[in-house]
Amino acid sequence: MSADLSQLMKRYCEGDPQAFEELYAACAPKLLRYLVRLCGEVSTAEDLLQLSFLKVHKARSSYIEGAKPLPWMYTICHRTFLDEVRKRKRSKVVDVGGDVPEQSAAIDGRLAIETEKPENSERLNRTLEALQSLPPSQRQAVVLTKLDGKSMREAADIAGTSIGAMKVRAHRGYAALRKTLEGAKS
Amino acid sequence: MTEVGDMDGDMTQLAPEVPEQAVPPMGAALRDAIANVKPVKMRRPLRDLGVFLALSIPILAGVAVLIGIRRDISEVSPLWVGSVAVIWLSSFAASSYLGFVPAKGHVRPRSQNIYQVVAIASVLIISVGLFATTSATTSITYPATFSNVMAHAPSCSIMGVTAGILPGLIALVLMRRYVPVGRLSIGLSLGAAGGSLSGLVLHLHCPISERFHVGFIHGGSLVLSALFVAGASQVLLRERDS
Repeated sequence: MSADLSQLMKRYCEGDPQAFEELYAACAPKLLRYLVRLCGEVSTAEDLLQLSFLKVHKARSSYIEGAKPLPWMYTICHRTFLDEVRKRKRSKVVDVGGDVPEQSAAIDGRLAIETEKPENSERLNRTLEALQSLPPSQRQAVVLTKLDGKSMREAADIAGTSIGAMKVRAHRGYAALRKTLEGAKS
Repeated sequence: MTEVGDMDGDMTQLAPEVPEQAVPPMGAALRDAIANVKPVKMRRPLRDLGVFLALSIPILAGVAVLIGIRRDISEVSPLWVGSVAVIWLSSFAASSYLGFVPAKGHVRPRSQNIYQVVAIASVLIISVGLFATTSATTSITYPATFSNVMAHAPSCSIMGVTAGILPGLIALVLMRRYVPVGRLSIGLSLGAAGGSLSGLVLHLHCPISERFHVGFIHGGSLVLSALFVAGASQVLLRERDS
C-alpha cells in the first residue's frame, strides 16, 4: 500500500494528473475521518481536507522520492487544522459585534459538534464533546491512537514527536477525557 | 449515561460516523490546480546536503583566512584547541545532516532530534566556553565585569552571527520550495550549522580567553544564527504560487 502510494506520488510529481486522482481516492477518506475526529464537524473537516490537498499540491516539490506520503499528509492536515483553530480563536476575539449573537467556534472545541451530532447516542455525544475540550496535541494523540487505531510509532511519526512524548500525550488526553466524563456523570 | 469504564479499551466505536470507503468530492480550487499540474523536481536530501557543504565550508574557510589565526595559537594547548574544534565541527555535522535529511521513508524533518541537537550543542558549547577555557601569555584577558565583556563583544558578535547566518540563508534560497510542515526545525538546524562553523572560525581567530566572552559571545553566535535562520525559514520556505 505504502509502496503504491509512493509510486502514485512520484507519478504525480512527474506531472501525471491521473496519479493525483488515484492518490486522492486512496488517502482522502482516511484523512477526512481523521479531520472529522479532530474538529468534530464534517463540513469543516471537508474544507480542511481541500485546503490540505492544495498544500500537498503546492508542496509536491518538497516530496522525497520513495518516502511514505500518508504520514506527511496527516501532518499537513493537522497543521491546517491548527491554523484554522488559531484563525477562529483570533476572529472570535476581534469580532465582538454588539448586535450579532456570538457563534460557537466549533472547531476549537466546546460546542463544536452540536450541529452534527449523531442522533442516537448520548454516550457518543458526551465523549465527542469531551474530546473537543482537550488541547490540540492531546486530542491528536487520542484520535490517532484510540480512534484511528494507529500504533504509537505511527502516531509519533505523524505528530513529528517521539514515541515517549506521544505516549505521554495520549495518556494525559485519555486521563483528561475520563475526568471530564466522570464529572459529567456525577 | 456515559459509562466511563467502557472507554478503557478500543474507542473506535465512539468515532463520528464517516463511511470507510467514501471518497469526498474534490473542490473546484483543487480541480483547477490539478488540471494544470506541471512536473516538478523532487527533493534530493543528500544532494542538497552536498551543495550546502560545498558552499558553506569554503565560505567560512575564506573568512578564517581573511581574518587570520589567533596570535596565541602556538602557546595554547593543541589538545584544547583540537577538542573544542571537534565539538564545533560535530555540532555543524549533526545540525546540517538533520536539517536536510529526514528519517528513511519520511518527508518531514526529524524535528525532535533537531531541537535536542541544537539545545545540547548550545549548552555544551557555552559551558565549554565558561568552564573550560585556557589562557596563554599572549592571550587577551581582562577582569570579568559586565562593561568589559560588552566592550569586547561587538566585533566577535557581528562576525560570528553574520558568518553564521550566511550559509543557512544560502541553503534556504537554494531550496526555494514550499515546505508546509517542519519549516522552523529546518531553519533552526541550518542556522545552528552555520553558527557552529562561524563559532569554529571565532575559536581559531579570537585570542580573548576571558570565559564570559568565550562562552556567551562565541557560543551565542550559534544560538543567534539558529534563531535568525529559523525566522528567515518562515519567509523563504512559505507557500508560493505553483
